[in-house]
Amino acid sequence: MIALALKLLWRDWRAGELTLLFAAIVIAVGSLTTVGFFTDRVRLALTLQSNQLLGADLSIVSDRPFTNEFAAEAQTRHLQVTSALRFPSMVTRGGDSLLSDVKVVAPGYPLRGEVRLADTLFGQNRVAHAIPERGTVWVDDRMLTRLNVKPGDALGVGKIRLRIAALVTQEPDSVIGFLNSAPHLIMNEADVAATGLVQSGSRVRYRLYVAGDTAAVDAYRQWADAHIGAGQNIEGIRDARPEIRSALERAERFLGLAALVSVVLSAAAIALAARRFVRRHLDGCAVMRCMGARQALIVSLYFTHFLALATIAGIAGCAIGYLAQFALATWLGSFLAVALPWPGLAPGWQGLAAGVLLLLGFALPPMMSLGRVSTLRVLRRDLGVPGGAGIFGYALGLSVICAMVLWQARDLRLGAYVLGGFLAAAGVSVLVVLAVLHLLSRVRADGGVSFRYGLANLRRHALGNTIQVVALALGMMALLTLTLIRGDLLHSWQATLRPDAPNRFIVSIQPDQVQALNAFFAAHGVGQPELFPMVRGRLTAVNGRAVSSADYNEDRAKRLIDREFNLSWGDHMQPDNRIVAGKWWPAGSGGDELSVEEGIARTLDLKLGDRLTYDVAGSTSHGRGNF
Amino acid sequence: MQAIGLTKQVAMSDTQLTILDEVSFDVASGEAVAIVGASGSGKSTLLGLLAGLDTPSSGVVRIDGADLFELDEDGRAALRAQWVGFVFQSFQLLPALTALENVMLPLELARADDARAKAHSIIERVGLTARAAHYPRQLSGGEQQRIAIARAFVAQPKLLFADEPTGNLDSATGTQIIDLMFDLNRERRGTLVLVTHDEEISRRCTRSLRLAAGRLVVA
Repeated sequence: MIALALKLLWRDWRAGELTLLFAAIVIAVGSLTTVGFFTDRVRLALTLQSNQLLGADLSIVSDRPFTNEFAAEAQTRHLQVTSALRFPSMVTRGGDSLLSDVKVVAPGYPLRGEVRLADTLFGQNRVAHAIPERGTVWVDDRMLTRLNVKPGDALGVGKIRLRIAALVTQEPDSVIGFLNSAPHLIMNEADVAATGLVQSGSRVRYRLYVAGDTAAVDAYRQWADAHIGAGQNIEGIRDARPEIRSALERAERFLGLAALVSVVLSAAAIALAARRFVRRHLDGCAVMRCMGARQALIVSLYFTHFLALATIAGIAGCAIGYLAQFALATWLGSFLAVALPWPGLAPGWQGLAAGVLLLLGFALPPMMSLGRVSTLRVLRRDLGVPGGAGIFGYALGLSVICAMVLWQARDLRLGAYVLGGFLAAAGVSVLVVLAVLHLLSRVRADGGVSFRYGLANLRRHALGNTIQVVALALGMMALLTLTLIRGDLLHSWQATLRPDAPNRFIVSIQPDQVQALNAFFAAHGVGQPELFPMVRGRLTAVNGRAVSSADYNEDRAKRLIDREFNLSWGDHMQPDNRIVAGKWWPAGSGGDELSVEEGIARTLDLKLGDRLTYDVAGSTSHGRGNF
Repeated sequence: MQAIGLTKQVAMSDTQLTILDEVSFDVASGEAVAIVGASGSGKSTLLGLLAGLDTPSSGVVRIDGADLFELDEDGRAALRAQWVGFVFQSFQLLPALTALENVMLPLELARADDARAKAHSIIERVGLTARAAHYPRQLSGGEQQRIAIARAFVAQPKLLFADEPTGNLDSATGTQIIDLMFDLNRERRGTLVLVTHDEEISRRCTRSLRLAAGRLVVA
């Protein structure tokens, strides 16, 4: 039976009967596996790197220097300890300068994983057995190419010049992720004081690395949990790189839903193509029944036929998805500073299963009617398609689509929105078709013969026509949704930027550099830049009462309390600011008033006239709220 | 084959339409019987009942002693596989299959050995070896009917039903087709039941059954 089914499959394929079905499955599986293979590669990259992602077993991040007790406690527990700090700074080479991510490391770094170095771009890799020597730095490939430098050249970092000793090709705790990688430099902690870059108010992140016996690390984590303050976080392997995980999840969800749109489109095509296939094979099945083929044989033949078709088309779709994910990886490669390993087989199996389920879901109901075909059809071709379950016959296919949407959305509410939208579109399409058929029946008498004949045909095949219109409407809606989402996303991204938004920002300008900066701009005739004073401070009290993240339920409020605010000051209000409550202070007033952004005030439940206390680099500032 | 009191009625909106009314006759092995009559006299309905493609309102059809309508749909299919071949007015070749594959199909469904060789042999007998690899759409009407005849005879049925086999052909081609069908039937000593409104063809049969308004007027 299988041999005969495969023969029939080959004969149908050769005669072009299966092209549409095949293409629909290939597109559905190809879309799903493209996204599946790509996200699998990124996930594998994260897993592979997780053991050395932190450069330690545990790391504590802080926005202020650590007190000695953290390292001392680790040492008493016989754990290895080292530290690093990280800040953005301009790195110069001759007349060129580059905003860079500077990492200052102490001996012992990294405690886990390894730093790999090379002498030239794409040169031979070697493991670094120590941190950069005093007076030297290691740079990454972006800095090497952007500043057009090579090992041996000197770079200006703050007030001193440091020689490039090597190119970093791999390091723990590296900046990997979407949209946030800057050229990168590693230097010895012994040199940092001389750079003069770490000063009060500098945007520095401090990191303490701890490694050792698992139980001792766990115990230390418990101790540290109880001793960290606001602005300090503990990261273990488990919670490493949450920003990448959430970026990946968002990307996966968006790409997955985009893929699903093509699946819905393909499902509509599969439903229509399967219907067409069945109609074209009714006569043949009736002839086979005349020749003595039993009903079960016909059903088995075409079940095997469709299963084989789905498998072959699924494999082709997987192959296309596998190749297409390379294009996706290349496209997103500029956002990913991480080498992607080869993907696993799981997305392929999932795509294959999706292809088979889609085809069987939408083709089984019409296929069953092939088995029920009346033998009398060989004598009376006017006999229609054997009665089936009508539109409910597609319940299986619709269930498959529902399950796939929920699976891909990974969120019941989001999945329900998508499904609700499509079901509503299907419902509206059915109503429109029925209304149009009804309206057309009333104008029947007015048309010509061919018009009346056409209308009669439309009504006679009302169910089939309705299914076709619904399938086409869903397909159109899927396409339009994708177009709108893409356009809408682009629009909302663009809308967040004012037309006169600056192209460049200069950060971390120290007071003694302002004059030289202004002179530079004047010399180059590009207008005087507007400088904003900036200092980082933590909100510690409201109306004299100390606040902590535990006082708030909302996640954003907790985050706002735990991190430092960027605070600025000035006499006059910026033209693009708007006061929503209270009033701006008069120029030259005492300076005990504050203006707080409306959203932050709402999140933190701040009222007009509240007295806010900020901790700025250890000193306390107060002010009354304005909005 | 024996037909006893075959009646077929169809419910209309407000009445029962009688298409066949108490039709009874026997067909002996090796006979060639023509069913003739005007359009709408019930010829094709009778053929459908005799072949077990349709069920009667009442009456019995026995083939080699087996009551067709005591069998279920699959039982009748099994009996057809063993006994029956068909030639249709509209040829009923499968469009996705070549001429050779169409002829092979009954053998393949019966899981017979040497389907290809047997099909080739009978295609040669109907004179279309050169067209074996062609699709039905590439064949003329006469050629399609030759292939349909080859398909009907390839499984060596004891009973051949033919429904207006020349209805879609010009008279010259029709004559060749009828010659071929009678020759093959004679060579295989089969029984032939033929529906036609062509008196010339009916005269070539052993006897004719004439239907008028669903009743047998000459048996």
